Amino acid sequence: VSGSAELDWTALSVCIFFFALVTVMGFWASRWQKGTADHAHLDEWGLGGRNFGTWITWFLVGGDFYTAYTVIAVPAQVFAIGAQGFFALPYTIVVYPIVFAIMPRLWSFAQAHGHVTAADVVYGRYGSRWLELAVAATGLLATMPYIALQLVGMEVVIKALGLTGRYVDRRRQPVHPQCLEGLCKSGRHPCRRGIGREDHQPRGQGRRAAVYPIRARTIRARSAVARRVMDPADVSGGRVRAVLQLVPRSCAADGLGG
Amino acid sequence: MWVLLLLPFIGLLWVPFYNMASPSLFGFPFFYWYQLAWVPITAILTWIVYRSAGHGDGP
Repeated sequence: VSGSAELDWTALSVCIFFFALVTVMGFWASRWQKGTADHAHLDEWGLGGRNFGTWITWFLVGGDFYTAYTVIAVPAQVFAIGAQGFFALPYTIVVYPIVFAIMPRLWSFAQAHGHVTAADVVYGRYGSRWLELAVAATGLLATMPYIALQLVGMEVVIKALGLTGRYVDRRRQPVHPQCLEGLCKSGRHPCRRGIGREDHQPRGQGRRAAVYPIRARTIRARSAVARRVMDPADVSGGRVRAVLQLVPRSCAADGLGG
Repeated sequence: MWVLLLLPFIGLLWVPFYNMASPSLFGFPFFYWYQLAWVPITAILTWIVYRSAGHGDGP
């Protein structure tokens, strides 16, 4: 197992500590308003029984903002492309006046009429099932890329702890998960060919293309296998630097290799 | 007073206003500190509007 796959025990300990702390606090909070809560009502599940005051809401808004998007995606974008990533700052600043102008009215209306979701409010106000459906569908659709971003962010965090999820064989070469499932035993499957981490050099075979992480990377490719899939224009020299994607999408779909 | 809340939109959504390196502040180019300065400014503006609108169930 290479260096990058070793566990970072300090980071892992901090992560486990806070994970345990938050879990305990969550169970503790569930007893917080026991007795008064009517768990049969959607208000309880969706809105905390409409009992959150200023302080709790303040922390909840903080929790909404300081996510993997804020602490990983945006800094990574600024690091990668510079000032353009700063879009996130004006965007966040102008969101607050909008919320300040709209949300108190929305809150009052929703509370007075017992609405739980934005779609409920729209139906209650305008009486249109289609408009209600459009609002609900827009909300779901808009949430999906955000959730996807959070999952990728979690992947980054977990890998930073040293939990890379890479499989290695007896020679400590990375093995694609699909190969473990016997889906490409023939050796002809792309995920069997020329596979190796870029920091790995198989013994006795010379240097081969390092293509295991599936997402396109700049690598030095010297094997015939690698050259075959590359643009001939890129293969003129002895050493070739190219971005290539040897493994087909079917093999890349699980995303474990990245 | 509500018109105060339009100021951050004017100040931030037109990038040519602040797409420059100088004057810098504590070594930060204008582009960065200008945008960050709008965080406390917008908070203060919102507070002023909130005070003027009263403490009821909202505006």
